[in-house]
Amino acid sequence: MAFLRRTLLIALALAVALVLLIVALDFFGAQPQPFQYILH
Amino acid sequence: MAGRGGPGAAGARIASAAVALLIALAAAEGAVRLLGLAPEVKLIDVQKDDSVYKRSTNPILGFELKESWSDPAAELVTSYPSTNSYGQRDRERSLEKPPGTRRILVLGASVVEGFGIRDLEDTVCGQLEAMEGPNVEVLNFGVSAYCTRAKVELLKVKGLAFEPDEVVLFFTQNDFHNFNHEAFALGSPIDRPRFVEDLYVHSHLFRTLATRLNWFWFGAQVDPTGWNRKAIGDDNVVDGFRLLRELAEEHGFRPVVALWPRFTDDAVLDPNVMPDGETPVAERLARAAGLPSFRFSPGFRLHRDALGESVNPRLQYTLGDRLHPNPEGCWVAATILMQELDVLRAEDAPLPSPSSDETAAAVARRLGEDEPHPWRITVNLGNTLLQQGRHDEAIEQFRAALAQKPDLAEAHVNWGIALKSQGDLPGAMTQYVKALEIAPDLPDAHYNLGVALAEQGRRERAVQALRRALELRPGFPAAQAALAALTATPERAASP
Repeated sequence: MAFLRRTLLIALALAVALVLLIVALDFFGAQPQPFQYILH
Repeated sequence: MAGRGGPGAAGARIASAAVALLIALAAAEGAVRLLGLAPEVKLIDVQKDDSVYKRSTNPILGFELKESWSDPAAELVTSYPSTNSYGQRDRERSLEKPPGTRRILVLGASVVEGFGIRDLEDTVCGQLEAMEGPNVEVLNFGVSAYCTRAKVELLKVKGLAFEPDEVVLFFTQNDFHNFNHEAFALGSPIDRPRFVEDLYVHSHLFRTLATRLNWFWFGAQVDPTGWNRKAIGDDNVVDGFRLLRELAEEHGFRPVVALWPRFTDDAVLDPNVMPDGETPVAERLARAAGLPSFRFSPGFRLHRDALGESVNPRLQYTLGDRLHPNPEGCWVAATILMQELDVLRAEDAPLPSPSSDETAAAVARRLGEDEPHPWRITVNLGNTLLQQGRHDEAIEQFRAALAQKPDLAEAHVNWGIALKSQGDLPGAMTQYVKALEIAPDLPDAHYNLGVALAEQGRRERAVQALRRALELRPGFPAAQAALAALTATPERAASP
């Protein structure tokens, strides 16, 4: 049970960190144009 | 059972971390989707192998010409008949300078590259080389849409290896832009593994991070001018001239800035002059950087005077667009350039000391505030789809381009062509007419309207439209052929 709780806590922390990273990148001006094409 | 610090516990910790990571990625994926953070991706499978340009790994350049390119059927906009093995629109050159040879390296954008000109011999560089004789090589280092800083960057990363004795920088309108207009949708400079592309398409989280952090060059691909503009900075002309001067001192070549004019129907003008006079901004900036400069305009005016006042400079010297020289314009430019280089050589003066010209720098900065135009990519993507016969998709692009820029006459013309290919002649004509309402002097619109009118049997009006196309673009081969076919065949009654 403790193992599961710890795993979930780490997962939550990582997920929050990732999303915060993205938001921070946008905040510091790395946001790209809203659309684009991928050409193979 | 293993102890607390044993391999079993370590394994459990690793397993816990791995599971946590997977859950975190899944949760972040969900969060990114919920918040709508990922850029939209539209998958259009277009082969861009027919473009002479490729994305560069140098952010200041943004894009470059491909090496050893060959395309005998090149349409002279996205493709040329050839490039050399170093990626210049030039004949093959050796890196090492042949003994007793003087090398003139010409930096520039489409004017130097030879936009719209098929034979290398007809470009400014080709004609100058022929005039200068056997012991002089004139290297064409023109790449469409490059700003000053990018031109000098190309000299630094590629041109210096050819040991030039003289470097001429052709200065045109796009030099002021603090980015290189990327007019064509280009692929990635690197081949990505298939799973990375799939991951980019299907995972919002990966797409968001890869776009923002430029993983696998996705960032550059999504926002091609953004990274280019960031690398170039806000004062590209000032920085470019400064670097050119530094390189000249370091490598011992003679630099000169050559100011390209604008050709109107009744005059040859110097664009972008200082607000309080007639001095071009670029001339002031060149002087401040300690670089010699000259204008092409007086030489063109003299040539025109010799031909007679009635000569229309736009039609006489350009492809009809006021900017890009036709073979005669290239010949006159080469003659002027040869004379100016002779004068500089004869003077053999040391480079003047650099100074500062804040007023001119501020004007240049204002001129460089122009924004990149994403519609250019959209409309060119539409053109590629049109060439591939994918009319519905092409129309979607033209519609999108017009939503971004409603006065884009060429998008209406090409939309019309797509409709006509689908058999919708009235729809096509509506688009051509819309194009002409926006740009009454667009020869392509008159030509297409003329062909459509001919197909409807409205011969007189068709001839009128085709003649107008030829007036606006003398020698327009398609219009000439259509007009010849129309006047050679007997008149038939209009279709019921």
